[in-house]
Amino acid sequence: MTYGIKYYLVRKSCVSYTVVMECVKKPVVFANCGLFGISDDYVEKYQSLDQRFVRNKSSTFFFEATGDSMEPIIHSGDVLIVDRSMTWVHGNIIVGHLDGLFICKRLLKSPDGLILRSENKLHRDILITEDIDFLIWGVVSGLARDLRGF
Amino acid sequence: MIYALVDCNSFFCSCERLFRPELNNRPVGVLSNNDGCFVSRTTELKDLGVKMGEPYFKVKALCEKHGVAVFSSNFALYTNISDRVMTVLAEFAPELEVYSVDEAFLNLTGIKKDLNEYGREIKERVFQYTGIPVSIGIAPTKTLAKLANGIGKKSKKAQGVVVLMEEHLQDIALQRTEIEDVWGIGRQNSTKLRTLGINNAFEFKNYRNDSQIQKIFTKIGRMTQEELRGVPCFELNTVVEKKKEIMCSRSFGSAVTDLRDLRESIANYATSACEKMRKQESACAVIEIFCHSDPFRYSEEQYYAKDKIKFLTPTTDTRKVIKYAWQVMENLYKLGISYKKAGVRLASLTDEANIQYALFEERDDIKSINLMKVMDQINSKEGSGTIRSMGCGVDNKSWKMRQDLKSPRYVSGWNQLPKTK
Repeated sequence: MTYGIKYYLVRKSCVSYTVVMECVKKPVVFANCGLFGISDDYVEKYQSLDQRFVRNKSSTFFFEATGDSMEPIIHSGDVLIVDRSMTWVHGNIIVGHLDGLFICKRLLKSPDGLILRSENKLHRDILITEDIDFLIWGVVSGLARDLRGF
Repeated sequence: MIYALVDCNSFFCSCERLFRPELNNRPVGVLSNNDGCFVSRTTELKDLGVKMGEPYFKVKALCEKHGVAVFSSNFALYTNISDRVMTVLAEFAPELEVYSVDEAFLNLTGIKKDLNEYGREIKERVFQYTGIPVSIGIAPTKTLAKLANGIGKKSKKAQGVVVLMEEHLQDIALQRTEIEDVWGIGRQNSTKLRTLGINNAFEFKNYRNDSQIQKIFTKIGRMTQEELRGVPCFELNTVVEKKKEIMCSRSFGSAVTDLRDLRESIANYATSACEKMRKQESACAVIEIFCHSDPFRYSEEQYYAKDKIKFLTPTTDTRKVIKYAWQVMENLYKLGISYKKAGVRLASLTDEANIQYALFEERDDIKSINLMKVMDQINSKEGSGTIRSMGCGVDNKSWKMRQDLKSPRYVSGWNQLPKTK
């Protein structure tokens, strides 16, 4: 409860009024006791996609996939969730950098060197030998796709 | 005590390189607002002889010849990456002081591990998570940590981590550090110290005439000296202090002569200053406006003007600030001048919570306070300037900053994500 001041006029005669000030108690918010007495203790946060798919905010970046090389897993226009904190293992889908371009491929180990493999069989494997300038940027840990318009 | 100073190498350039890895071995430079001069350079660019603050137009030919990748500053990107770096660092120490956008002090007191190894671990983690290379200096005081960091940057052998816990190592490092490179000693003071025969940090440490030092540059000088001797005097500032004044000013992309353009620019600067002010929950009682012509155009008439307006009751309302800023601007405006720069400074900042209300002046009513809150929320969600005062203009951007070489919004918004093949 807080206190407010209420003003009103009291007519003294036909020409004079007196202003009366009165201190009144007034509730600020009319709070209901809740649905069937369920208290605030049970309120939990909404789920958020970050909570589930961005495990490490400071090391997670987003990329946009283009092209068809990773079909049918990844479509052109998909958002790739890339987590730099993960160490890649054989078979992970990664974002790498090759010949001045970012690429998204499956990364495999082989006796001759690393292999970049596309899901789409129309694209050939790329063998990374020592003399090729290649950099693993991060591991793709998730995928977001907009299905509106599909 | 054990302090570490972690400093990002050529920070702005490293942020640009993160999304352009092909630039990793090429010279990269980032320009100041308006593409004026270099504010960040990689070692490759330093080796070409390009100095800090060097005007771009002077070395443009050199840059083109050597294939330097030059960028306009993309502060949204740099602050985002900086935040990531600081978050990673915070995991390594109980206390962290964010000293600037690319530097942080860590309190490592009580860490049981080998400090060299720990430093290396920090460096590797930051690089893995954020892609930013850092150098680390570890020492018993902040001043020595800063100095260790400086040594680490120069020395190839150290590979970015220098630990100066023992005195004999500190002394070697001090001997290699010029007096003006010591943290907290300005150029003026170092000239004075040099006349006393103090040329490097080691000589300063062993200079025994305390009162002389006190006379030259007060208590801070004495404290710096003690810090070099390994006695901690400066503690970590972990509480972020509120700014006492907020300034927003820019040079124009091209000369401005029209009052309408000036007013529009002032409205924009006032808007962004007010946003910052509300973010730190302050209100301002003084608005200062300034504008001036281009001092480098000797042939033209020079003009420099500033004036301020005071409120009895501090305000947080952008509309009110713009309204009064315009009044000041109109008084300052002189016909026939080519203006190069204008700005807004909000001063006499007080806490929003304990504003003293004046009797006869209108104050921000609850409606205006709520309006500002809603505007800030929308703008932070949908991008700054989504909702703004009409005074900020629509599309006439003759006064706007020149940022021809700006990189995309890789980490903010959704329409400029980096693309993979």
